[in-house]
Amino acid sequence: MVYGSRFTVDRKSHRALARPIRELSTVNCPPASWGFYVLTDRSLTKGRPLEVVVDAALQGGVNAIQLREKDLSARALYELAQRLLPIVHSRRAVLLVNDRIDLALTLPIDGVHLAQTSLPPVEARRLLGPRRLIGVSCHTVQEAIEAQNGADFIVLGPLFFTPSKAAYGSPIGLERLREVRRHVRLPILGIGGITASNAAQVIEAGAEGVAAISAVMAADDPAGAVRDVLHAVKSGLAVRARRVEPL
Amino acid sequence: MEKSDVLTFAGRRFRSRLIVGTGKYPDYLSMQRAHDASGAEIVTVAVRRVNLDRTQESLLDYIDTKRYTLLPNTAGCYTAEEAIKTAILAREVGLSDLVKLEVIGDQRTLFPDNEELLNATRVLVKEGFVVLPYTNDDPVMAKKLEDAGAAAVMPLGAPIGSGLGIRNPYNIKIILETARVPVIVDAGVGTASDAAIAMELGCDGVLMNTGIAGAKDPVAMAEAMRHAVLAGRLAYLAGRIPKKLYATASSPLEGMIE
Repeated sequence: MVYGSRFTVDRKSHRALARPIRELSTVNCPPASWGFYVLTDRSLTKGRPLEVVVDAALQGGVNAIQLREKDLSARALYELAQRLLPIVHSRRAVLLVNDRIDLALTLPIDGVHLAQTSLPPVEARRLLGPRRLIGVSCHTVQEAIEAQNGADFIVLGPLFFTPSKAAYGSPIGLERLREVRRHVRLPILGIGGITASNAAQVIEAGAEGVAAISAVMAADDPAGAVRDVLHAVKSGLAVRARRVEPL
Repeated sequence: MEKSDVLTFAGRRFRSRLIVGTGKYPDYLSMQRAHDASGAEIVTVAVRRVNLDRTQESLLDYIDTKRYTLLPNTAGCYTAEEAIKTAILAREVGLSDLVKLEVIGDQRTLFPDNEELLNATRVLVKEGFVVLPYTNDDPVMAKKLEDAGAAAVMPLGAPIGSGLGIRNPYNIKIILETARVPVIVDAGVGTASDAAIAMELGCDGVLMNTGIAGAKDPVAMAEAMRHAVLAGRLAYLAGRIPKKLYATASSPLEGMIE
């Protein structure tokens, strides 16, 4: 599963270009099982290189990383992704890239994360084929329903208040999460102000996992931060499994 | 209910969550009227039991394909090979690339042969079909079918034509928790409350034939089923109150004059 060695810049034939795509690890790492989805923001890492923080997060047990550096040019993202891919894949995790379908198709990136302003998921699916993952950020029931046409999972939020998501409006809360859960069968990851102390409630409300930026990127100990959140996710799942609603 | 609350699979959208059949009706006219009363948009047809030669009278003459989406089914097939051939035949005569895949394992119970079903699903998905397999209320099987590329899974509520209702709601609940594709209860519905229960559990749709066609008044039962599916869906989306052992007063007592 390590394609760091095979993945070199000087590939000559088209055959070689196509090869890494068959090695996408998405089948073994479905979004419903992630628990925690970590989004990058290199402006929050307190001067540490992104690779270092991502590696620490992976050591903490994260299965999915989204490269989300919206200010970077295609070339800069391409280079950063090339450095991150061997790190992510060597830990059997998946790497998604924000919005850039072109970049995902260029490298053995496992999927694309779409915003509401991105291409529609159904078009992204046409371009990306069946094997790459497509995530869609949603804020309303309507958006979640629409996302079903093409997406593999949705990220719903902001659930709680968070500085990094303040620009996206006021928190939608857990009641909205419950409502979206009733409407869609896709895995839902809750985002926005996620911490180890509220992640369990998010899972209990019906999400399969949580997603966060600053909780990991800005943490002094990213591996520890990840472990704490994953522990909370697990306890949330345990509560859900014990809950028997009379039918 | 929001306009957007539609049944979606394989990129197709349907307003109605009720799928109806075409067998056992007293006559074609009552079938047509029942279909109309049901509000269904998808009608399933047993490929092996329908006259595909359109120069003679056929059940298909009584289904307006501008109004209804045809869902050919492989009823009566006992092996993957038979079912695959039947689906391909249906597509070749221009019925549809959708298929409600039935591979029956036992004549008396009409329970599916899951091994053959899974094989047929794999083949037909590869052939480009939109496959909706009829299966047991088994969460493991449902997951396998989904992984094989099924566009929806159709667990039975009870044996076909039995009218016993949803016999294992807890299994259906588990399927609903794990499935990422629509879950459509197929078979077992006897009366309106059965359909409502399936929808209240959170199912994406209900498919039925005998429950309507075998009723004393199929047209009236079709209408009842339309309301039941709608009511069950609305109740599910509305979010029911938890069940409690003791009463809670309908009118709160706080702030009352002593």
